Amino acid sequence: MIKAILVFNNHGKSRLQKFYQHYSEDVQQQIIRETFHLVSRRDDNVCSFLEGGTLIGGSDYKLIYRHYATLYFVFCVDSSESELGILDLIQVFVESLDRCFENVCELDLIFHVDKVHHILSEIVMGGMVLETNMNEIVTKFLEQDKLEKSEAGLSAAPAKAAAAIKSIDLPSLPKDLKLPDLPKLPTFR
Amino acid sequence: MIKTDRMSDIMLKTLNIAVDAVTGKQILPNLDLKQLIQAISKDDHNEVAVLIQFISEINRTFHVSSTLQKRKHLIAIVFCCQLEWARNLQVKDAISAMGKHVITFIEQVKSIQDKKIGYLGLSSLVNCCSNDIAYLAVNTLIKDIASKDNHLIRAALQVIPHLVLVDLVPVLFPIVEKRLTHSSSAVKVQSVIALETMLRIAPEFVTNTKQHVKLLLADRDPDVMSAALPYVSHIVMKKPEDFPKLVDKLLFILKQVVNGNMPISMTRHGISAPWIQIRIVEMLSHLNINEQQLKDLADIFQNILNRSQMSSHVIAFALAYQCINAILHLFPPTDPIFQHACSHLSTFMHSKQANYLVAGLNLLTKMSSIDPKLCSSYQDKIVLCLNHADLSIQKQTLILLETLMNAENFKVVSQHMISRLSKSHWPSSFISTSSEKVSKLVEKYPLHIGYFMDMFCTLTISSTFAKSDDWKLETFHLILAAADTNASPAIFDHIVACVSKASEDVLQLELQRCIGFKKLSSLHFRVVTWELCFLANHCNGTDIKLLIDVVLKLCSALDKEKDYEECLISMILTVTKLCAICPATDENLLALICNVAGEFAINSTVVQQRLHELQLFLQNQKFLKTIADMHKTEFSFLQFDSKMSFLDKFISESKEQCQNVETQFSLDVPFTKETTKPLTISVSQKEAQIKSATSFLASALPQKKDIMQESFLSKSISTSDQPEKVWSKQGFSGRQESTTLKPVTSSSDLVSSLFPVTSSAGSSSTPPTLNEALQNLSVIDESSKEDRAMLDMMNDMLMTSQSDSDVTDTASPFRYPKANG
Repeated sequence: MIKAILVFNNHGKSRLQKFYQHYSEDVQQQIIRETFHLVSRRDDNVCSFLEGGTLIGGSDYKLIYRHYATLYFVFCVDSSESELGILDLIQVFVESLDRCFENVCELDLIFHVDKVHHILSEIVMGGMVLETNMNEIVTKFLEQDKLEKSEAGLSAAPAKAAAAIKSIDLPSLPKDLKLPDLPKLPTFR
Repeated sequence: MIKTDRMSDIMLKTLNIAVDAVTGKQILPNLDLKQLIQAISKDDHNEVAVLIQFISEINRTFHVSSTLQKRKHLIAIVFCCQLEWARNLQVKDAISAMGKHVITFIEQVKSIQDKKIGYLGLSSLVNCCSNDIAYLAVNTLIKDIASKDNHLIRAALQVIPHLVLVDLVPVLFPIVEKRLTHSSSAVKVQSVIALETMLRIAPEFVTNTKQHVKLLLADRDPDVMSAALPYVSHIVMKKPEDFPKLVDKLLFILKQVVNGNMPISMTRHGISAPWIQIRIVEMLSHLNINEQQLKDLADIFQNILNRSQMSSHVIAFALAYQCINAILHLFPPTDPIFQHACSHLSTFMHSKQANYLVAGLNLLTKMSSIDPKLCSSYQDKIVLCLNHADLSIQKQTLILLETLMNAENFKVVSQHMISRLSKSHWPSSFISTSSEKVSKLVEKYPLHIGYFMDMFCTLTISSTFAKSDDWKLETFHLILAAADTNASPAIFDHIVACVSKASEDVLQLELQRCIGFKKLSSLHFRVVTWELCFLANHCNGTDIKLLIDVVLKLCSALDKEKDYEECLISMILTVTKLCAICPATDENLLALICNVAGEFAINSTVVQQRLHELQLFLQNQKFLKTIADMHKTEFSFLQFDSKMSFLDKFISESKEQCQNVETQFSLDVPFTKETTKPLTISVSQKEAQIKSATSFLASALPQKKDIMQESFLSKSISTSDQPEKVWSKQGFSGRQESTTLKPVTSSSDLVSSLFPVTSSAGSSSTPPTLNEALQNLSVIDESSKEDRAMLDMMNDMLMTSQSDSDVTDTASPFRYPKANG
């Protein structure tokens, strides 16, 4: 079982936290700090597995992490999960984010926190791995996005208008423009 | 994401305002995430105030906001719940006040997206604040799960693992169970996972589990079957006998998956449904499998390992790891699949990636516990890993070395272990678990217990992370409990060193620990009684009566079949000392002590003498009070040690004088002017007189009985023996046992010790240890050359095994003089 998924930057600021086991808010923040402390002082060429900190469960749990540029993606798992499998799952999660946000960056995790949570909920639910196929994950995300637009109604008018303008190919419009045939006028005598 | 860069912001805002105007909603300031982040970044020092203001403003205006604005507010609240300031009580209160708005929002909205955001907000609130909000959302949850819209059902099911409490399981379980037969596979998948959460939290309310297992494993949709595997595993592991046909079913599924009968969408990097394979293999490794099934399984594993060799992706390694792990569990070493697994291990061990190397070391450790010779082909790799820059690899190698340790090679192996554990920055959790491991090693190799004690004491002192005195004391007690009478003499010095410089908090913890002991070995008992006396003196507010009760109970709990004279003496001395600290004691104390002493089959004059002394001591309340006052003023002269060098000659002289004084004042000698000599008793002589006459003022440690059984407690004052001379021409030779690390042997020695070539002679090339030399002491013939050489060697060992600078500095301040320079 996955106990927690944490994403924080190089300064220890949390960008995503999902706990699948209940902890109080104080303990959650301490876990994040402890995990950051454990993970941040490791070099990039060492292995990605380490024992969990004392707050999260100690040696019975493992922290599996990956460092991408400014962000650490950390999964805390128990002994029933495959460590190498979880390592691959982190890759799946990050690649899914990248495909959904088109070159994902830290700002996307800040300003689109709801979308990030939705993507994560397609991959992991209740501490269990749900889906590992990236195409499926991205497809479901795009379906949700489409549904959002169709449900928006009048309030989505600006978005719809923008989408419509986007789909218009302006340079080729004059060429494709087809004028209707003029009606035949009767002769006057 | 839709990029609105072709539409200007002005037009976007205009349209928003127009929509609000049409719908009649009040035009409000834009309280969204962007505003919050800008406000926080502007005012760095008052983030909490900014946050509280923002959330309060949302709280105030939420009910009049439009749906779009509410959505943005909820996203902002979700963001706030993640911030470190969310633990602030005021922020928490502000966030929790949003609970009712969120629930109203979820009830009222119709769109799926809004529902999802509402549920996301709700789970964030529950996570951040309290679980009570979950109770308010139950009705909405049930209604949404019962709806006909699949998206709505999924949105509701998705939030159940975050909201479900023990009280809510009986309410939610029936409706979630019904969804197991839904037409949509996505709904079934999420229902299974919700059930798994309920099973974990409140298993007593989850019923019909057998039917669930049958239904889910037989589902046509592989996604459902895959999601059900953890749930099935959870149920099966509790009672595997209820599912006799499960292994066949799992084997069938595994075969289908390995043969590629799964949808292409489940393939990852050329491997078909790797997660299903990993889960099923993991389940099979814990189930009982018959021979025929094992044969089928062996073919499947062969197939899996061959295919995984063709891929270099991490998921292939993950699957191979799981397979090898299962093979080690299920198959004997003689089986061909076992050999195949061993050969496949080389892909892990020879990998340049640290992750695969760690996994390989883990498998090698498991293999070595089955047959250590299987590791012989990785000797060089083991040595390389021991010196690896990655601490995780070093640690795993140390664990591997521990499993390879045996009675022949433990010294070499433990030297390598200890040298690395002492130098590297290990987390304290690893050090503390290693203390338990050392106790297990002690039980496994009791003959070499002295070596382990020295090794571990050195580790405890020198470890850069073992700075906690409390942890050290706890570990020493652990070792004493494991080592019993074979404990090294050095351990007492270390305990003394620890408690002498420990803080008040640590002493209190140690006191509680000592009070909490229920049953001890004889040596441990004597150490604890000494400690109780020390702690009674140094801890404020100690209940002396409680300590006396504890001592008596521990003494009663000792093994009566053994002759524990020293323990009884120690008990009596301890009680006497405690009474000296606090004169107001129980009148029946002496009777209690006699009862405890009577439980032991000991008829010793020394015990009787001590009891008599205690009786006299207790009867003389005035003297008791004087002693107690002396303790309060912290007179330390009463606790001097005859081993202190400058007192050597003095003590022996004073003893002679005391004896003379006694004879002079005996009743038989008539008192005349000629016979009386002038008394030359000085204060110092008085001390010696008190010291020799009243044994309770001596150190609480009992007398040494036999040099062959010399323990740390035998360093106490001996009134019957001459004091040992500790100064000699060669200098101070107070310490007998060496706690220094011997120089670490080379890697080739390590390899040859782990995997020895068949040796003809059984003789060890290493010099005998001090213990072994002492054991030979009684049979030494000084006339023989060999024995003389052994004596010389012993002398060298004694002279050169000076205390380590660390140990000397940390030795008890009232035991040895400080080392010069």
